[in-house]
Amino acid sequence: MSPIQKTYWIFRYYFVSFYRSRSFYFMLSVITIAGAMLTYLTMKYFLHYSGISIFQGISSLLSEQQVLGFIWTYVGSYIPVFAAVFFGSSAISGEIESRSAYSVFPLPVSRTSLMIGKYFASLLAGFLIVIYYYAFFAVNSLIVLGTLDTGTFTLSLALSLAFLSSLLSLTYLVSTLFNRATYSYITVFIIYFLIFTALNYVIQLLYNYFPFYLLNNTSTVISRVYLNFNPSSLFLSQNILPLSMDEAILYTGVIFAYTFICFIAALFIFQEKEVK
Amino acid sequence: MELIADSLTRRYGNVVALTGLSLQIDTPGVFVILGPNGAGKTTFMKIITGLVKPSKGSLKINGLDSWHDHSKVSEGIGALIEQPEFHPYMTGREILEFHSRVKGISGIGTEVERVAGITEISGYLDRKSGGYSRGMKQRLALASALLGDPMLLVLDEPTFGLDPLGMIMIRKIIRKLSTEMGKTVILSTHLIFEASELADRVLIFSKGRLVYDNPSDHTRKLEVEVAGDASPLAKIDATIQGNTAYFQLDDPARINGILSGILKTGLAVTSIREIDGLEEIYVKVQGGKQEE
Repeated sequence: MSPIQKTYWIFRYYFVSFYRSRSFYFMLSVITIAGAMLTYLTMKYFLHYSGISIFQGISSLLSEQQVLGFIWTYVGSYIPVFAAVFFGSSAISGEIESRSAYSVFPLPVSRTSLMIGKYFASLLAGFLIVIYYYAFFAVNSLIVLGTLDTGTFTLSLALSLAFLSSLLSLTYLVSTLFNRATYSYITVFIIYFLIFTALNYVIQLLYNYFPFYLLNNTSTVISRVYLNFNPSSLFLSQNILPLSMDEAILYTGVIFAYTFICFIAALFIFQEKEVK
Repeated sequence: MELIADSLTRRYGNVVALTGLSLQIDTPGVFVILGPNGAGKTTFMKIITGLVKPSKGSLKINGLDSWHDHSKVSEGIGALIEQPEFHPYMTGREILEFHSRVKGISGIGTEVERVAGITEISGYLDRKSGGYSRGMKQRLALASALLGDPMLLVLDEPTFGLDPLGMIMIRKIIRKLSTEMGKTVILSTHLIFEASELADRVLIFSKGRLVYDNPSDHTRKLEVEVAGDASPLAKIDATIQGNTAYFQLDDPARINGILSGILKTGLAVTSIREIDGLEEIYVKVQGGKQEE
């Protein structure tokens, strides 16, 4: 059997395992709650969005589609973070901690096949979670506005999935460093919410420069395709028109750079990882 | 199948788990590794199965390095290491089918049924492994190890957690694998009687070193403890150690002669028990005391 075939079977097996896991259904439940809350907001206030203080005074510049899209995708930009942590943080460390590594690692598969297969399985599981959320958004848009800007919607969804891939790579990298899943979960959250956030403000305040290359800043591209409003930036935007295509490409490049660099680093460490 | 360990050493920080182990296994049979906790048994098995790498030296199977050529080497190995766990949301059948697929086995359905039949888990195959008992997981692990009829089986305490019938069943399977199917089985255990029953060759580890490597001594002995000096029993071919006499039991019929000989000496017997030759060897090579 070729390595590609083995990778496929690993992918399939782990996807079923993720799909049946409590984490998957927990994530679905959380998304359902978040989706229900935003649906309530959309139905009750959206048609009068100019009444929402943050958009007062600029409402005439915005289309309903932009505001609706921004609200939903801004909240949605956190979903890949949690999906990646749930499905990626325990990828290697969890196998060692739960001792399932003793049944899987001695099998005649290369560590490369194992990690690639598992990575794509967790990517697909996270992908389903993200799509589920975007389905909520699409339904809301169709009900409230009677239309859906499929181009921007698809771009935002694609960016969200790309962002998920980069976060998963980061969580896989962290997971290869530990033998306990809890340490991986905590470390990923610390890196993403504390270290990146702290770096973001330190660089902006000390060097008067917006560090677009930090992973938490790249996630803003998911909502900025609707409205160029970035709460994590201390600099006022030139305008609030949707992100330019050049900027979207730049951010996408940064996202994929994280994906590949972190994944290759994870693969390199995993090759040498022992199950002591 | 040829396994060669050459000056194999493994350290965990300052702790030496294995040191200078050189060993060759190139015949079918059951090779039982005995040793106290921390003697290096599991580390040796983890090196064979590519879970850890040697700090120094090498371990080669059919000329391939167990760490660097892991995926190729493990094609011919079935392993059960450290009471493994399985993904709890997958059924026993799905797990065995997955293992079969990555092992490149054809006729997966038949093969899964075969190994499940041998390990007597056929009735549990469609249940999720998260609901399996420790013993069931151990059987599932053994079933996985048997998939594809590997030439080398590496079994780390395979009867751990099993009920008595399960233990008997697994020992029968191991004997059959060796005697009827010509497999090489490397097995670790803490149970001397199990080692004695199964082993063709016994390897005793102590503090990371191989301290005994010989064909199994299947002879049994009678240990007789008397009140006072046991030396009068030397006349009836006993080996004397203080107040204890040891009699060889090559022929079980000899026991009557030994007992009548003891009665004639008039010594008061305080205890009498049959022991394994291996037990005596084990205690001797471990320095006469058990270690933690």
